[in-house]
Amino acid sequence: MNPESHEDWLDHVSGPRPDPSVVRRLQSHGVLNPAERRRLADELALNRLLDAHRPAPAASSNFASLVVAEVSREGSAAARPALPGLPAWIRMGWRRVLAGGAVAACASLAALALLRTGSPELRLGPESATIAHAASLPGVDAATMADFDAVRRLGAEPRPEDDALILALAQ
Amino acid sequence: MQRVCEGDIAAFEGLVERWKTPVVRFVFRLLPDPDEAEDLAQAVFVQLWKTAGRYTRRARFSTFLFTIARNLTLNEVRRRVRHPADSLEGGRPATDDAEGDEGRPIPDPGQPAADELAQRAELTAKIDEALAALPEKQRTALALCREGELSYEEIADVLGTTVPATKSLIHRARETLKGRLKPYLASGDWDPAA
Repeated sequence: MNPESHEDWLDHVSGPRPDPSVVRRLQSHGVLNPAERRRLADELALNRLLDAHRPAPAASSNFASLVVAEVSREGSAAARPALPGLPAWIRMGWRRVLAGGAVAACASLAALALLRTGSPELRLGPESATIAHAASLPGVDAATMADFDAVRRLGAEPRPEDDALILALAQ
Repeated sequence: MQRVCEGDIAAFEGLVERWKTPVVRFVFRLLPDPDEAEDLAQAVFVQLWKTAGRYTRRARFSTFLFTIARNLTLNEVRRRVRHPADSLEGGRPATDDAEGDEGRPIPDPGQPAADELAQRAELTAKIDEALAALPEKQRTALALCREGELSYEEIADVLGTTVPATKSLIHRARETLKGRLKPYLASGDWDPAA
């Protein structure tokens, strides 16, 4: 580097890794005016102060192996970058596919269950028809009749003697 | 880095070896505890591995790495502000100041005298205080400049700003530090008479 202007040498001295040979040249007589020399002295003094302040620790010798062990521990499948070079939306796509599949499976199960049970009318079996018939008789409560096994076992076709039984049970 | 993107663990280990010291030092400047800095630096590299797929060849590797380092460190610093008693492992306190020093070795006669140590501790505390008082962006820019081995251009990328703005951040930080540490700057060394 060859700092020509005031701004250049200041950037160099206060920036990353000042070159010692450039600093020596700046310090030599006649390169900077007195005000700039004082400024240079201040900047170098601050560098020394910061350099001496809490010397930064060196990384431990097993640093890399600890990192690699941690990466391996977390599992290569989870840790390995997925399909580099592809756009992010494609790389994230498998999660969407998984979520979509789960939703589709739930919807299919619900539809299947509905098909198997059929419409409300189809779900009424002979027992329900009997109880409905019983409930149509005067003074008979359907909920009460449903508790009687005898009523539930009656045939779907109502008979006069069945009505008599139902009325007797309803008493 | 391309090999790391492809899952090459040996290449990744090589990257860790190359960059571990600048990363540990950078983290240490923002989180001044050697053990915590090392733990967090390891987390930075684990995160690098996990997010390597997001790396594009157009970006500088150093920028990518130190952006992760900056984000993780700032998250940790913010977490500590919210939960001052916590550390990364929930054990040791965040600072290595004079308290809790039962385990420290007894200094031998060749070591600096007690008053000199006290003066150094005072200076260290003053510098810590001056650095801590800097705005976050200035402090980070200064740390990246001095410890990260990054150019002005790379620092600007990490901070998401321009090179002139980065230089301005660093210059403002240095001006503030020079103002606050003026008594100690007479010769760039500790001056007890100052």
